[in-house]
Amino acid sequence: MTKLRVCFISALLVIASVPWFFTEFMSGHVLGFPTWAFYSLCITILYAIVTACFFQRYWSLFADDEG
Amino acid sequence: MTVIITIVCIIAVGSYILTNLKAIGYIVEVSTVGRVTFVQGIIALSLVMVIYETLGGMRSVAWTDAIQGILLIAGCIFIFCGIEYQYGGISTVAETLVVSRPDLWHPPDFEQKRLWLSTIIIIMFGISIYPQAIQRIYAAKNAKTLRRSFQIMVFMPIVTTFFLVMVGIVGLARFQGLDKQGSEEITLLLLNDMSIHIPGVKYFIILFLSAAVAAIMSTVDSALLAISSLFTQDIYKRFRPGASQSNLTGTGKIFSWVLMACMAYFATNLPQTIWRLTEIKLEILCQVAPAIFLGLHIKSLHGRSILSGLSIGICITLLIMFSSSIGLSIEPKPWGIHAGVWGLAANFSTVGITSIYKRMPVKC
Repeated sequence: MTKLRVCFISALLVIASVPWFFTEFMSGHVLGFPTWAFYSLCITILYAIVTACFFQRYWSLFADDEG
Repeated sequence: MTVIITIVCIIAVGSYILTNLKAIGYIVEVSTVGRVTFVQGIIALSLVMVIYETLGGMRSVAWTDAIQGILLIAGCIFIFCGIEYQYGGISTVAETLVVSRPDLWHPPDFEQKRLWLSTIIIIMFGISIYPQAIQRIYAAKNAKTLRRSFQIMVFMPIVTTFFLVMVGIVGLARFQGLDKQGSEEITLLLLNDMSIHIPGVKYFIILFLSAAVAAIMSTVDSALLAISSLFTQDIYKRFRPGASQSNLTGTGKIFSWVLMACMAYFATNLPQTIWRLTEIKLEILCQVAPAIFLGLHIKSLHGRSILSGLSIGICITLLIMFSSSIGLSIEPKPWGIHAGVWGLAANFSTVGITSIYKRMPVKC
């Protein structure tokens, strides 16, 4: 895994956290949250988990001063 | 470039102190039912914070942060449980909102989605380079401790803001038709409502309010310490390179007092909401992000490229922000995107273009 891929995956998850594909026809609710809000919350939690894993596995990759 | 970045950071972090002082003023005024006014609350707590920051420095700030953080999380959990008990949980509240606010259940339209992404961008770039956060990085014992703290920290925004977002949603169902000013006090309104219906919960409310005030004080004292360090190391020391450590420390403390007095004054007089002040702060602060992100990872990057990008980014941001004041007809958020994001795009582009230009061979 390269630095660029790590940054790309992080950026992708951040962009994916916005409910781009939810339209007015998808206005139900899950556990009391609007569907689009529940989706966004799930992606945000996934992003936090992935970032924590990246810190664990690729810390030394970013600590390399030569870049 | 160092001086410009330092000034930008001081302005941004000063604004951060401002938003927190406003919040603390609201909390004190509402929780004391007006016995202590908004202005009195700000002045009193500002004095407390600047005194213990002056006496204790980094160590006192770190200890108070730890204690206040624990109080805040405990307070949030207690209040969340109280809301579940009193209002029947989020599902029950959702049924009320389906009737009273059907607009909430519709997904945001395309412009709102662009604004959503724009908000994420300014938060991501702005908060990641908070001077007080970077200062804490250097305080870590070793790299392993730092890594572990980051792994825990990624979950903290979800934990802390989730509870408060729930408070906001329940408040939306309970108190309808609030204006901007009223909505800034929603947490306190809801807590007061709970204490009327469940008398015993007032002790938990005291805990939560203590935690909230403690968290704000923790934030402000960290920011104050960061600003005084920025000023003494990057500005004052340039003019007085021979200044002793005690002279630098004393100057930093005097600067803290002056800054706190200015921020307390602005907090009592500026009309903008807390969220708008936060946006302004992040939009300006994120212009420093290219200098740090690119400067850390691209060793061949020239300082002039960074300075060019920073200057253009700040100019574009301020131009869009204050366009109406200078007679230009530019929307405050063109295409639903913050001025700071436009500035950041110009910033990164300028750094890229000037870097490529400097590498081009000169033709004779």
